Amino acid sequence: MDRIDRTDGIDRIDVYMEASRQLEPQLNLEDLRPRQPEKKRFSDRFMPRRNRHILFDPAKCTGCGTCEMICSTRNAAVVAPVLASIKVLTNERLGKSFAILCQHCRRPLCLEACPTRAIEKGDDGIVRINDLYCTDCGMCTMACPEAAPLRDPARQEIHKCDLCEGDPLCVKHCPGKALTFTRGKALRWIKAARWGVQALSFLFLVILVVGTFCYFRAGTVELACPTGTLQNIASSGTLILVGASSALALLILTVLFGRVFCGWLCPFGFVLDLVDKIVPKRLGWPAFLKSRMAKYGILGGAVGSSAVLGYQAFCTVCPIGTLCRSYGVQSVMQSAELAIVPALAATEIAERRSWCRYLCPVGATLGIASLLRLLKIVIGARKCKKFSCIQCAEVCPVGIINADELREGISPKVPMTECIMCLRCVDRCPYGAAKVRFRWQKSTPGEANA
Amino acid sequence: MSLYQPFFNGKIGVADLTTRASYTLDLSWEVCGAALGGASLNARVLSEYESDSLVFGTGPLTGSFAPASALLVGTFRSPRWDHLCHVPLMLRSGPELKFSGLDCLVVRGAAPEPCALLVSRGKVHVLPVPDSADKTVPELLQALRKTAPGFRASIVTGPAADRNSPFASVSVDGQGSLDRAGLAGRMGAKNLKALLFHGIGGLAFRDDHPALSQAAEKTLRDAGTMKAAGFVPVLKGLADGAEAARALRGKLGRNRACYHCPCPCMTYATPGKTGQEREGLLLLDHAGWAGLSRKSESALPLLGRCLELGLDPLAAGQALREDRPLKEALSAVDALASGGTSVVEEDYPSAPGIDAHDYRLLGGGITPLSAGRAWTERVAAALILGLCPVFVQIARRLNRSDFLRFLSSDAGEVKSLAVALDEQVERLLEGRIPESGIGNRV
Repeated sequence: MDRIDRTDGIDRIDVYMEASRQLEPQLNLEDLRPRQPEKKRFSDRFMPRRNRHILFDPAKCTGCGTCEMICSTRNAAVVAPVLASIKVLTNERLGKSFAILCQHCRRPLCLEACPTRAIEKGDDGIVRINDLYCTDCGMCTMACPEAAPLRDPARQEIHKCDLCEGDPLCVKHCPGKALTFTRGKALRWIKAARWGVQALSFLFLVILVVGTFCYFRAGTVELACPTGTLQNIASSGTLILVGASSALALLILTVLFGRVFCGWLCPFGFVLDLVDKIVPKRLGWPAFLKSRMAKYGILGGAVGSSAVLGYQAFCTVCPIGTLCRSYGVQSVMQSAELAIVPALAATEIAERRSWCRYLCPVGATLGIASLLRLLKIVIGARKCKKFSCIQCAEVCPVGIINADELREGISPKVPMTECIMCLRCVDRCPYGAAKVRFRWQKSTPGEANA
Repeated sequence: MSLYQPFFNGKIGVADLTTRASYTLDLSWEVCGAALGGASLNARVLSEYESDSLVFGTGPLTGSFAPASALLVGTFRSPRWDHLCHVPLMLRSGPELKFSGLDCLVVRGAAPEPCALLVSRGKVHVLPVPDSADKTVPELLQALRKTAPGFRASIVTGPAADRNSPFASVSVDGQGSLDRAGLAGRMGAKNLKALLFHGIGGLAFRDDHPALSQAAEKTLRDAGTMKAAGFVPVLKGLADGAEAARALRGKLGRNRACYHCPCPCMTYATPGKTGQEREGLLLLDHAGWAGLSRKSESALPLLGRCLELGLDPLAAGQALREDRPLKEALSAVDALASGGTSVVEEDYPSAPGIDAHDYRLLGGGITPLSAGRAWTERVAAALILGLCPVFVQIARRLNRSDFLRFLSSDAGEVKSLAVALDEQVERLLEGRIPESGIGNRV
């Protein structure tokens, strides 16, 4: 049966507009059947799965426009690519395609911008426009980094992708398989592994053995905090080779893998991550203190003051040291030291890992060592393609991924002296665009097939 | 109700460039029934107007869910061969004309100043394009974007048409075309620089159309046709294609398809290595590339120059005669675009195994992937139905009824449509025009 029949003498555009106004989506038996809830897996209790979304692969897109065709048939009951909620743009000079479609963001900016609260995000993760309240003002289009809510040029109405209620037609009909409906390529296991390693490290350094981070000796093996060693050398005025060599272990680890100690092993970092889970709202770090170079100043100050005072001055207030010394089963319960950890952990209310970002001299020492690192993190903006995603920038605890560059389609350079190698970005990226590479490798994900 | 009503807007746009007037006609369903559409309908419409008029028309399946329903046919009396020619124009031009609210566009007369036609919301607008003479195709497109922002498809001519070169070729969206019959020359003579389509309307579809489309796609996937996608596999189907394909090694990028085509036959190429962020061009004309690459090792820059000038690359290949340094070759191409040429009609190759008259009748540039009468009939049927003629050659597993099923779900009607189509193909190739009036002026 034809969806619309043309009547002689009536303009075609009027016909389709009239038809699309009048026609309601037709119900069939499939719609009336109760939908089976998606089966939950055991692992979902610990790591809830992300909602599925449409991924666009420009390397596979041929620009045939089938996605636009099929989308318009659902939107307006006619074949009219301009009425589609997905738009494929092609740069003919460079031969590249780019798709504009709603990403159903975790925190949709369109939802916040809508003056009539017509946009809502459902439990299924789908961001929808409620036509009842929508006034077609276009604020959502302006707020969306991708301008995904599109305006129908004939009727001037705003429409956007609703994932065909969880079964997108464009994905089914794409002949080149450039569109996929997926939960993404996120690894998901790194997060669990990191929490495990952090917990074990905390157990060993804080609970089981007293003062292990500052100095640890088992037989002939000696390990020491590099910052403490620097202060020790400064305060004593002599270079103790044994002490210096024991501090090398952490420095070598840093040279090999970057600041993995900060991201995976530091017990105070673990505490900060736990506090981060309960902080309801960030207040922001004071602007006049917002310098990542401050921690290098503190390191210099710690070494200098140790030289003047004749003892390791910073170690008395070091949160890592006090945590290792004053907490745990065999701890030396020093009342003054006990207060340092909660006091500095409270900085988490300003910014995530603000201690690590701006103040930690241990991080500064490792940052200097990481100048010789072998590994780096690369983020390929062309691979991720979705300027509004910026999940890597959102999850980065030390805030070193430039979201503005990503929005402009530029691959951001990750400053590895600041990176704590937590690999949250690698774990989270649904497009596989964040990778760990050797520092001499020049390629960025997405460049080869761009 | 006519069988064809859901597939046509029922409107013909007429633009008189001499008076800058434009109007629309109602397309009578009797004509649609008699001619089916596309090249056949164009020939019928053209017979009502002056012999120097141009007709751009769509087939019943253009813009529909039928695979590769991308075709716009330009019909005119070729100045080179002095007989009727039907030039296929692909990418998105056909569907965009239909979505603009017209099925057919007639261009009459000649404009005193360079102009462009914009088709939007069922109307034709004549736009002046001052200072456009001798602008290259990309420059002209840039200027047109300022004059008529938002157009979604275009057919433009370049400096070669301005300078009355007999080898001028129109460019669809600035990417070239399969025009070897002189459509660009005819547009140049009319001072018509461009046709712009702004399709914001829609077309009806039957509920089973998406499923039919997927079924056709599955047939092609099962047959392995979709694996051999891209410019090079199609190029290798030509007699001397393998050698021409060698010249593209390491320079190919992404494949590109026309509107709703599951088997892309075009590929972007860059002069440098694959994947580098460098401006490239779309390889679209298989026979043109084969002709050009045979004569020059630096064929890609030459092809780029041909596209800028709106020049037929096959003619450029003929003009070179032998491999020359790039600078000299570019000068030769420029000279060819200026009208000065040593290429004579006899040098101009036709497709092997295909009757020269039939090949030229169908535009003289369609990639000949088969030979003999079978090629002619299949391509002619595609030009009537509004399907890409290259696709119908690639998709050999799909027969006529696979396409005609989009017009009617009734098996009996499909059979009678097949008979009608055969008759129209016969008429088209013999040059006979379908009888019946085309409609009333509104």
